[in-house]
Amino acid sequence: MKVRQLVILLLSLMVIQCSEPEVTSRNYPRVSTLDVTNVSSVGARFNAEVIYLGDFEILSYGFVWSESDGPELGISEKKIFDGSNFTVNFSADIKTTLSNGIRYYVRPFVMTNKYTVYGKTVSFYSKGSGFPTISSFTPTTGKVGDTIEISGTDFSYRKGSMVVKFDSHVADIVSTSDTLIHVVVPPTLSSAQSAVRVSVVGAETIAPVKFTLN
Amino acid sequence: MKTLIVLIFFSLISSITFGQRDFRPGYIITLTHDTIAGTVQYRSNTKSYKGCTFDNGVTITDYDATQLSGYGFFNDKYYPSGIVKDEFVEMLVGGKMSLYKHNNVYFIRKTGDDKFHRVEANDVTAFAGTRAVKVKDQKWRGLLSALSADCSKGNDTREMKLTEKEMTAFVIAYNQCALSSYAVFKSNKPWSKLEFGLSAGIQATTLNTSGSAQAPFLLNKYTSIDPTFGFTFDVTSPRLGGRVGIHAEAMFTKLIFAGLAVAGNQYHDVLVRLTTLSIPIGPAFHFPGEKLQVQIMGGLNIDHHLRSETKLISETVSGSVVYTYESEAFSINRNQIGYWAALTLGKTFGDFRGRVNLKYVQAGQLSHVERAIDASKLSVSLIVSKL
Repeated sequence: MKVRQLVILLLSLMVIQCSEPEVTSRNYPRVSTLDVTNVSSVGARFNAEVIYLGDFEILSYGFVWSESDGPELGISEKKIFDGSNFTVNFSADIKTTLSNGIRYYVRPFVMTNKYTVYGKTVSFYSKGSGFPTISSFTPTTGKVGDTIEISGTDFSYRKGSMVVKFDSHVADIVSTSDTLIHVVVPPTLSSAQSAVRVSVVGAETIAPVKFTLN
Repeated sequence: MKTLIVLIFFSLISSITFGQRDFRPGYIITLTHDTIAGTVQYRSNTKSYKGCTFDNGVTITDYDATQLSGYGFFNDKYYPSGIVKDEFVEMLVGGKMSLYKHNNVYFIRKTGDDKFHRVEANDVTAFAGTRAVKVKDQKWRGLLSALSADCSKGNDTREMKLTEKEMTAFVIAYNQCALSSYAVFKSNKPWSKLEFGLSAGIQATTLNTSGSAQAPFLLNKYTSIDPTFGFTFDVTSPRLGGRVGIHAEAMFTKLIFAGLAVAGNQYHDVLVRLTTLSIPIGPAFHFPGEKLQVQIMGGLNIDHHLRSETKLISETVSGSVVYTYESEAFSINRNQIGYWAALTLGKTFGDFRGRVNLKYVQAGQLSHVERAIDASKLSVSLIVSKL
């Protein structure tokens, strides 16, 4: 072999080998947790990447977080996106549910028709978060014991993170998600009109319209 | 299997190496003092003492010391006969005081004195308290002082070492002091020469573990094939024949190892990234040839990991839920000390020399995970150096 051919062979091999190893396949998608970014007094951004997708259809995806290690769907705070908007790199801007100075554990998840796959858990110290928004509630009039549906954004899936009040009267939360809350008009309420107030980990928002008691 | 292939390759190349002949312009002097020019086989000193192989352009003939007065190479070594029985010796300096060498023994003869004075350091037994120890006798210093007594500038033998370099300097000093003309054979050859080269190639590295017996996430073997590049340094002594020298390298390699181990419902991906500076250093033996120059070398290898990272990504499948965990797979020892051996085939192109270097390194322990993880490397690289 001539020297020139040998040099070309060596250089070719050097170029070929300068690559990362392939991600190994599974019978489920694989998700990698990226660092939490944009941590500030109004929230934080959670980030993730699906490193192996295969032919799997992602039905939903998002993040779960809590103050203890190992957050899970069902018991922890969560942000869920519909699978129709899925991209392999995904993020979520979390604007509520984070208290200042608390260490949170967060991990992403993706769901297929067979598996729920969690990425590894990462932690960060929160600098706080902002306020939920109330867009409307219905019905706007009612009597004690009625169930009211409150619509908005950045509510919490966890009842324990939220307090709903009619003026100063605390209402029982029937069900909650990040955009809808069902509450019962408190039995102690007597004012003809009262402010509907929703707070998430202490950050309170008041509805623009007052509730009228029949 | 890989070791077997390497051994076969080295054996094959060695047989080619030793089969090569290196003829250089030279001459023989017959017993009737006729000088015949031609080419003479250039060999190690030990073989050169036994005899010479001379090519007059028509035939190649082997001579021993009883058949010639001497032989030599133009502007290089000269081997006269008649000093040691049935063998040639190498003449280092000719003058009022002449110096000859045969293995580790030197001979000095002064003009007008027919005797060749043997200069050597023999082992003698001395006593340190009651303990007998072997030491070199120092009689040769007195002999040299006596031989140079007629010229005071060249006779300080107290700090001398019995080496070719210092003996040559001593005899030259004497001849200069005695205002004698003298000839130093090999004088156009430097005592030491540094050859600096650039090297680039490919390296296959294998990490050997005890597999799952060692840790559930480990495979028995991880392999990485990576480019490697760096510098080479060769130090030789052309004056002393140039056959033995020191070879050293500083080679940079970026390595990536990856492997998946499956244990029941657990999947373990191990990833190891290393940026390594390898410094092999050791003696090199040169075998000059007409077409190819061959070097066999080996010695101590030091691997210093400039950057290192290991990652273990474990996934546990629990029913329809998959949990992912990440941690360090194992710690990396910053330095690995091992040994190496290499074979180099070279060719000269004008002022440059190109060499293909095949090297095997047993690199020692990379890490400790219950038991050790060690590494072995096989590389082929191209070295280009300026002569």
